[in-house]
Amino acid sequence: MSLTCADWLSFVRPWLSEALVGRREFENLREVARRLPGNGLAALEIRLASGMEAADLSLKVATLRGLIDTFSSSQLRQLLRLWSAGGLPSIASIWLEFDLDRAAGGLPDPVVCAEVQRGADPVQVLDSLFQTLDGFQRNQVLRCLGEIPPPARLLYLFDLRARGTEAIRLEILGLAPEAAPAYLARVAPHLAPVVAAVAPLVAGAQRPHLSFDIGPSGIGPRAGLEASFVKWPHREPRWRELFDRLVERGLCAPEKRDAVFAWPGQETFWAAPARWPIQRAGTRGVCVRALSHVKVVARVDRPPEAKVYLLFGWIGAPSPELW
Amino acid sequence: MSRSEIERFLSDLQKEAGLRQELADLGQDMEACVRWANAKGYAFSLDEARETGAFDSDLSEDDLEQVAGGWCGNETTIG
Repeated sequence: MSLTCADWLSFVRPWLSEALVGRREFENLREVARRLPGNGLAALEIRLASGMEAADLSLKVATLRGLIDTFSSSQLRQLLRLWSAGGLPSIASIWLEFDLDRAAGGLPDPVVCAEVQRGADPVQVLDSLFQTLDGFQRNQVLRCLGEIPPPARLLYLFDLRARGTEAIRLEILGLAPEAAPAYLARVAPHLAPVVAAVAPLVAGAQRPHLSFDIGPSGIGPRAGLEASFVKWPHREPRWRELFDRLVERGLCAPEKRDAVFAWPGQETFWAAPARWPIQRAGTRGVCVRALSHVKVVARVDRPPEAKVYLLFGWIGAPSPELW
Repeated sequence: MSRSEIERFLSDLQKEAGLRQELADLGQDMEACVRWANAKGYAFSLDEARETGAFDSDLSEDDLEQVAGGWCGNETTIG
């Protein structure tokens, strides 16, 4: 039996407060994680407001073994095969996002999140992912890309077809939150005021991201503002300030904030030999738990929502010498 | 000799849950771990275990920052 993401999810459970992921939600996550390989990073997407218990799971693709044939989408299988064979050099990495509300009875086809290689033409990635894109939609994407003010750039393109929509999500790195409304005023004026209203929450982020969706009939009603800092929370007080602002705004329950700060850390086999999945992982490597980023989702048709993304996974390839 | 002893030790750890529980009770003191292994009949030193890479240690702060940036983009663009 091979190592799965569920092995590491189970291993990190003691640091994942039930304030963040309840028992039933955790079992749902583990059921999906059992079908995913365990040699790499994964992320939990957790809603921060009180009473929002749903959590989703993302996986950074490190290997196709045990993964590719589980998807029903032939398009997705083809993309992953081509990328892993080196046929899509403009895509630096691929994350797969599994929405648990679509997971009943098995592994749902994921949202595909393709990272644009630094220096690569984002249009190449667009055309690799969306080969039959409608002309209007493609022109909309090109216009939004063309308006990105340097040094900001497209970081990710999302294929949202697994959610039953033809929309494409653009995620832009390096546009300061206070500059996002001016950019949106040029490409998606309806989103500018809602983003301006939440931008102060993520002000000062070192790695700001702005995302929005472009569908066949235009740009959708939601935008995401993400924030993260390079250093971990114990060395970066602005993480705490960010969460305090979310709590003050009513977007994050205080107990969830506190639980988020209890998450980061790392373990080796030697720190936890009784719990480490030694049968499948051997004794090598480090299991890491990291605070990745916060996202504030602003919509024209409903109040904003905040989410946190918690990374976990196994770092360090097993040595062939000993294992 | 020490390499084969280390391999034997790791192999036995993999097979025996009781051994892992005893190791857990020692905490994270690697010197104590080696003394305990020696007392169990595994003949290797702490330096030998480290040389073979058998004892993985924690990642550095720099490495950890790279891990977290893997999802958000490793570039620092502002601040």
